[in-house]
Amino acid sequence: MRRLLGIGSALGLTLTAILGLFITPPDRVMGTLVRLLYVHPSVAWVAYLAFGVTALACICYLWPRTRAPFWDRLAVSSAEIGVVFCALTLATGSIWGRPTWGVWWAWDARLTTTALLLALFIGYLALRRVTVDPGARARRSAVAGLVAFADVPIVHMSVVWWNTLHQPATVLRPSLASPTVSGSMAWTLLLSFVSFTLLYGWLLMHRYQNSVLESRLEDEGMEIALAERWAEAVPSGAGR
Amino acid sequence: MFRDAALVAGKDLRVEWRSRVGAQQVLPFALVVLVIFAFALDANHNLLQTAAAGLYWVAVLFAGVLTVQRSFALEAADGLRDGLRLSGLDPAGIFLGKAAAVAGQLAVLEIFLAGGIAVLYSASLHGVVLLVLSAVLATIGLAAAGTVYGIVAAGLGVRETLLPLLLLPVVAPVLLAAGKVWEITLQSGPGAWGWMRILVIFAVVYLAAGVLAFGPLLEES
Amino acid sequence: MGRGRALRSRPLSYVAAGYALSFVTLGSYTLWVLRRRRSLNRLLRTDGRPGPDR
Repeated sequence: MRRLLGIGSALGLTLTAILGLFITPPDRVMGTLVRLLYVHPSVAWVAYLAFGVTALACICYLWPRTRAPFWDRLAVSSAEIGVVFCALTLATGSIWGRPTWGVWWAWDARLTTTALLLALFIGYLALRRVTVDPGARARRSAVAGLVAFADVPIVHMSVVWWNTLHQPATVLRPSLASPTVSGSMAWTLLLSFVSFTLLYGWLLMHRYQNSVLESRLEDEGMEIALAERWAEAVPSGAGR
Repeated sequence: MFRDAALVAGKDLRVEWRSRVGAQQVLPFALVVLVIFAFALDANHNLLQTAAAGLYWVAVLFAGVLTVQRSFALEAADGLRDGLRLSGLDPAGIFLGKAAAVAGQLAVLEIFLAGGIAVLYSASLHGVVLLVLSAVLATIGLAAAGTVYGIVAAGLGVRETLLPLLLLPVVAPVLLAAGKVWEITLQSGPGAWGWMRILVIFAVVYLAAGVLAFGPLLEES
Repeated sequence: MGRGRALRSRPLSYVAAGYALSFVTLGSYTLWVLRRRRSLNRLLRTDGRPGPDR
């Protein structure tokens, strides 16, 4: 399964890059810049998907009947991947924005909410890193993750409103930023979404596996180290 | 639940009253923040007056983080948190009590800070009803969210740096909405009530979150 | 023709930057995950089994 995902995503991404960079035509309005369309929205989608999975995993962990370490590990794995993709979303969006609107950053609703989302989950990862006891860590970060995620609609609501009051320049309106996609562009876009999602799945499985190994290391690490020290001591000591 | 809340709130407030950390440290800090903003904005009179509402709420936010830190530092000494857990008090009541104490301290702070912006930024404080109402809602929301994250970060050595990182992004909507209401009210503009809705939603969501989550969070090693 | 290409190449450099950034970032993260996996396995493989295998 994992191998399939890996190969699938690698193939898909390579194809996306080739199609996106070379084969698909430039847009009538946006010109060459439209090629970023095959990267930025997919990366954004994966970021939101990853954080959504984390939120779900937090709920499943906190719900007494379904509580299991699996959900906790899933939550942190998905969150870490989400942070990477979210940062990338902001970066690619910024790269897109600069030639399009002349600015590296704009305080529109989507960008601001995404930036805040990144901050929220960096906090989540920081919390996990400093909590040592696994049980406490799982519980606290599940609550923190869920509470952070619950904030997102509120953030979005307030920022959207904030934006309409500002009446941003027409050039920033999303409608003008989404070109009409057709033909090869549409297929490449679809391929890109699928490929990045496959990549997410593949990374998730690997990262989850790391999480399992890390738990085992926490449990057994001390014993393994001690056993090694014993092993070193006994043979040389016996000779003396 | 409410009786336990009153007990905990009373305890926290009494400790605060006796130590006067809020009055002697947090309030001066918040006022200094207002002064520093003036330095940063080059004491531009018009700019400060226009920005008064936003700057006020940033100062309240910083003071709020300190107040929450303090609230949980009270039980940081060995065994005190266990004492709280074993006391048999309803965890939801403990949450409400701690949040209420934080809210109370913040409220007093806000009154003084309002005086601060009236004096330092020449903000004319009319429309008191809206100002007070939005401040009450915002304070409840801030205290609730702060207390939730306070317990999440409690007992960790890096609490001082972790709590602001966790809390500030979360309460950004409160800053936005409350700042907006105050800005609109101070400039006598329209549309303040829409922002109030966000403050209400935020307060409700985080009060509920705290009441539900405090139990499982409190019981642990 | 020369000037036209110069103007057109500016958006292309943004596009290239975007693609490069994405693939480099995701590639590095992937490598990091895989490398962490390998070192974790190595740490755990000495499974209480003594004996010098250095």
